[in-house]
Amino acid sequence: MFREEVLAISVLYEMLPTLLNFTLAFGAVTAIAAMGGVIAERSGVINIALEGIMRIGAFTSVTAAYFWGYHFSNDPIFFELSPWIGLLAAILGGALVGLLHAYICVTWKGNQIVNGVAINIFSYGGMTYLLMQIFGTAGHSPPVPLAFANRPIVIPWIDPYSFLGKVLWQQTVFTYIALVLPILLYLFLFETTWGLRLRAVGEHPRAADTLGINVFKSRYFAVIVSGVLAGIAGANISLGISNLFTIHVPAGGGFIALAAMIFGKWNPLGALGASFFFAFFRALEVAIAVSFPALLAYIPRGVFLATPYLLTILVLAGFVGRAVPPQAIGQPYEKG
Amino acid sequence: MIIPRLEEKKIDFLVPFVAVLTALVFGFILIILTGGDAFKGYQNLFAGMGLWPDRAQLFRLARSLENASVLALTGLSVALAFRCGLFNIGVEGQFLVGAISAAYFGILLDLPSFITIPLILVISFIHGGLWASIATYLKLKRGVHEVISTIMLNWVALNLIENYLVVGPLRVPADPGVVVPTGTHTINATAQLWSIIPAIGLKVDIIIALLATIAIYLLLFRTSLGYEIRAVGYNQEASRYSGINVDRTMFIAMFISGGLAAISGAVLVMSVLHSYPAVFRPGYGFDGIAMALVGNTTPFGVLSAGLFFGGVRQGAAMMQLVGIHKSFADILQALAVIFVAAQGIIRYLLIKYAKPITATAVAEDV
Repeated sequence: MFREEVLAISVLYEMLPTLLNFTLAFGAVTAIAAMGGVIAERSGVINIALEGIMRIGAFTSVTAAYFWGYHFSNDPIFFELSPWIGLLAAILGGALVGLLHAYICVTWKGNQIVNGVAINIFSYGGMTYLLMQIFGTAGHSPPVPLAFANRPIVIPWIDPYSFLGKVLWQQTVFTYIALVLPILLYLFLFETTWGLRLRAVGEHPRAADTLGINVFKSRYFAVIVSGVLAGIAGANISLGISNLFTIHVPAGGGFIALAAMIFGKWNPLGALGASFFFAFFRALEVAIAVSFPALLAYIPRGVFLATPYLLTILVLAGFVGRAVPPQAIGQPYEKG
Repeated sequence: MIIPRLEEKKIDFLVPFVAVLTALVFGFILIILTGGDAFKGYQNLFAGMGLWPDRAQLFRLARSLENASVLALTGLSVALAFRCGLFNIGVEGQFLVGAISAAYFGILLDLPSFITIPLILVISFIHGGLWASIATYLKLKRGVHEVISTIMLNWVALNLIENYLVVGPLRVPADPGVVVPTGTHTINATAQLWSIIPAIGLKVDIIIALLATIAIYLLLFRTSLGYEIRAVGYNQEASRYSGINVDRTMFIAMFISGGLAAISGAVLVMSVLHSYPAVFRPGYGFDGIAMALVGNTTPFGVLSAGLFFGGVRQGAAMMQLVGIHKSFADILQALAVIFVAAQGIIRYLLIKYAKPITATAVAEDV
C-alpha cells in the first residue's frame, strides 16, 4: 500500500505541467468573473448575480456562435469570426443584465442581494427554457461549429514539449485575458483618478458626492462592467473550455468567483491569485480522480471541493489574514 | 403630503400581488416572443395547478400541495431570519443538511411510525439549526456578514454531502463496475410520511407546512421572543438600548430559520424521494428567498406564495404539452422576485395612480 502511494505522488509530480495547465484553464473562468465582482463591490454594489450572468453569457455566446458559424459555413473569413461573435454576444448579454441590476439597485434603490438572487433564479430557469425553445434540447445545446477551444493560442517561440510549453498547451485567449485583466484593473483602481473616485464611491458615497463625483454614474459604470466580465467568464466556459452549453453551467462558478474576490481581499491581484489557488485544488482533484481513484479513499473528493469555501470562511473570520469589504457595500445611495 | 399609516400598509399588501401579476404578464409576452401559444400555455398552467375540473384534478392538486409545503417551509425559514434583520442565503445548505439527516436516520431508526417521524423531524431541525449557527457565530463573534458566510457554507454542505457522504459512507453498494452514483438507501417504511388520501398521494407534508406557518405566526406576533425578533430586525441599536439581548435573539432566530429549512429538506425526503438522491435539483434555498419576498415576509403570506408557486411548478409540467418547457415556472418566480426587488417602481406607480382614486373615494364618503 505504501509503495503505491509513493508511486502515486511521484507520478503526480510528473503531472505537474498538466496540473498547471488545468489550473490556468479553470482559473481563468474564476479570475475573469472575480474581476467583475471586485469592480462592482468596490463601487459599493454587491453582485451575487455573477453566477446567473455567467450562465446567460455562456448561453448567448453559444447561440450567437452557433447560428453565425452555420450561416457563414462557406465563408472562411466570417466563419473564423464566429467565436468572436459569440464573445460579443456574451458581452452584450452581460452588459444588459448589469444594466438591469444597476437600474433596480441604484436608480430604484432595490435590495442588491434580493435582485441578485432574482437574476440567478431567472437565468437558471430562463436559459433552460431558451435552450429548449431555440435548440429543442433539454440536456445541452448542439456543439458550435467553431469555438475558441478549437483555436488555442500558439506562441511560436515556445517549445511545446518544454515545461512552459506543456503548461500553455491548448490555452485559449481567455487564459491570457485572465492574466492581463487583473493587472489592468489593479492599475485602474489604484493608480488612476477614475479608480480612486470609484473606490471613494464604494467607501463613502456621501463624501464622494460632496466632492462632485457622480455616485450614480460611477455605480452604473461599475455594475455594467461587472456584468460584461461575468458574461465573458460565461463564454469562457461554453466556448473556451467546451464547445457547447450544458444545463449545469456554471455550476457554482459565480459563487467561487465571489469566494476568490473575498479571499483576495477585494484586490484584483489578490483575487487573481485566489482564483488560481482554488483552480489548482480543482485540477488536483480531477487529476487524482482520473489517475489514482484509490487515493480518494484517504482524501474524499468532497473535502477537496469544499476546501476553497472553507478557506474563504477562515479568511473572513480573520483566522487567516483579515478581509474587510468596502465600507458602503450593499447600501443604496440617497442623494441628500 | 403625509401618507397615512393605513395607506402604507395597504401598499405593502398590494406590492406582491402587483409583482406576481406583472410577472404573469411578462411571462405571457415571453412565450409569444419565443414563438409559443401563450393562451393555450396559460390555460394548461392553471389546469395543471389543479384549478380546472377534470379527471386528474385532485391528483394535480395533491402534487401542487406537495410542492407548496416544501416551498412554504423554506420560505418561512428565510422570512423568520429576515424579520430579525438576517439574510439567510444558507437555506440551500441547511435544506441539504436536513435532507441527509432524514435519509440517514430514516434508515437507522426502526421504531413505530408515530415515534420515528416526529423524531426525525426534530433531529433534522436541530441539525439544520446547528449548521445555521455557524453563520451566527461568525457574524456575532468574528464580524462576518451572514450573506457571505452562508453562501460559502452552502457549498461546503453541498460538497461534503453530495461528493462525500452520498458517494462515500452512505452510498448504496452498486454492482461492481457501475460508477453511476445512486444516492442513499431507501428509508424505512416507518419513516415515510403518512398519507391523508392515499388514492391521490396526498400526504401530511402540507399539514406540517400549515402547522409551521401557524407556529411561526404565533412566535412572531404572540410571544415576547417574537417581539424581540421583530424589534431587532427593525432597529438593532434601539433594541440593544432597550435591554434586548440582541446576540441571543439573533442566535435563536437563525437557529429556528436553519431548523425550518432542514425540516423542509427532511419532508421532501420522507414524503417524495424516500432517499437522498445522487444529485439534488439545485435552488431550493433560492426558492425560499423568493417565497419569503413574494409573501412579504409574513407567515401566511409566505404560505400563500408557496401555494401559488407550488401550483405553478406543477402547472408548468403540463405546459410542456403545448411545447413550453417546465422551467417556465422558474422564470415566473424570478420575474416576481425582480418586481419585488424593484418595488420602488411599483410603490411609485401605486402612489401616483391609485392615490387620487382613494382620495376622491374618501372625500365622497365624507
